[in-house]
Amino acid sequence: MTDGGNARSRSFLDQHRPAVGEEPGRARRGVRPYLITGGRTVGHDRSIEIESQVVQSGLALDDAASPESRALIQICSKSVSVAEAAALLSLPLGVTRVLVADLVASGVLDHHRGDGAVDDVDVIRRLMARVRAL
Amino acid sequence: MFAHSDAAAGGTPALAQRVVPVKMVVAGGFGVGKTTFVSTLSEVEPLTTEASMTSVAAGVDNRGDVGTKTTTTVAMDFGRLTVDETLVCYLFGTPGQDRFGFMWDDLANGALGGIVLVDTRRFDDCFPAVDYFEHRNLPFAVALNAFDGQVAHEPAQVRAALNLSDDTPVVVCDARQTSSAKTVMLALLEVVLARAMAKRGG
Ligand SMILES: Nc1nc2c(ncn2[C@@H]2O[C@H](COP(=O)(O)OP(=O)(O)O)[C@@H](O)[C@H]2O)c(=O)[nH]1
Ligand SMILES: [Mg+2]
Repeated sequence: MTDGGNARSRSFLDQHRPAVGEEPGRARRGVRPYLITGGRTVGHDRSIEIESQVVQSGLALDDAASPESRALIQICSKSVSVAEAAALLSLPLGVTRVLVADLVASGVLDHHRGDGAVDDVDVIRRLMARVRAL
Repeated sequence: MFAHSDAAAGGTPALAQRVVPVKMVVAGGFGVGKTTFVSTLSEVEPLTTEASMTSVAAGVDNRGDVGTKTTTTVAMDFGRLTVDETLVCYLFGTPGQDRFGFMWDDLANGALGGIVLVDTRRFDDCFPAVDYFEHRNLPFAVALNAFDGQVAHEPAQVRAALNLSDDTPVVVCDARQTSSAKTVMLALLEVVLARAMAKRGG
């Protein structure tokens, strides 16, 4: 972090005017919005990221499972992200996360994150090669 | 209650090959070209999902009760770039308005890096995103979109005005063009790579 960031924020905060239809922010001045509000989703499970991959484990779903859970399992016949599953099911991200967490807990879905990829030189090089090929 | 299928035989998708997900965050003010940028690089039409967030305005009222909670719903669009069978990159566009800043943590957590799109005629719109990435110590690139065919401020001016660190790339970009969006991505990935190599070396 640089000191310049603070100066810039002040300038932003001084100049910012809520747009039409926007709620006037409380206690906006001097505090960055993302520090004021600790964003929380209902049932939010920190271990399940939006890009986390979910895929069928091979365990069959309980007969009593909800239609949404069945639809989710169908989509996870191949590895997809939580965000893709939400988009394909037209379900809000928060709801999808809860469904995923339940199905992971009961063993029907396998789930894994991209932990460590940020520092993985091989991963970054492969991605660069893919972008160059676009 | 779960019937066990042939998972132990190794024939299930999960056991076949794990796909490693990585992501990039595309940020900037409203109408600056985030969705355009994502769709230019994505191999599929960008997908949209509704993110419904309960934000807790902690400490503002000094009450800490449920009365300080508000729920906001925003549409978030994202694209996908499949690298190979075991690596996929997602590009998430932030909902632009700074009042949605509270949900950026969700996007930025574990991200490789960020791209801040800037319309130089509405320069201040990029401040929250720049502040945010610096605060998170997340590598980012600044892309100046030339809306009138040219940028109102040159990269060097922008660098000075934003007081950017030396390793933060500033490039002129047309988010509608693949070659241009590619240049931005690669400039960012060079920084990401340099950081990863420095970590590995030290
Ligand atoms: N001239 C120009 N127009 C752009 C560029 N990027 C986006 N646009 C246009 O600006 C408008 C808003 O872009 P959009 O991607 O929806 O902005 P968002 O609100 O940040 O997602 C669209 O009509 C785009 O075609 C650019 O780099 N140059
Ligand atoms: Mg958009």
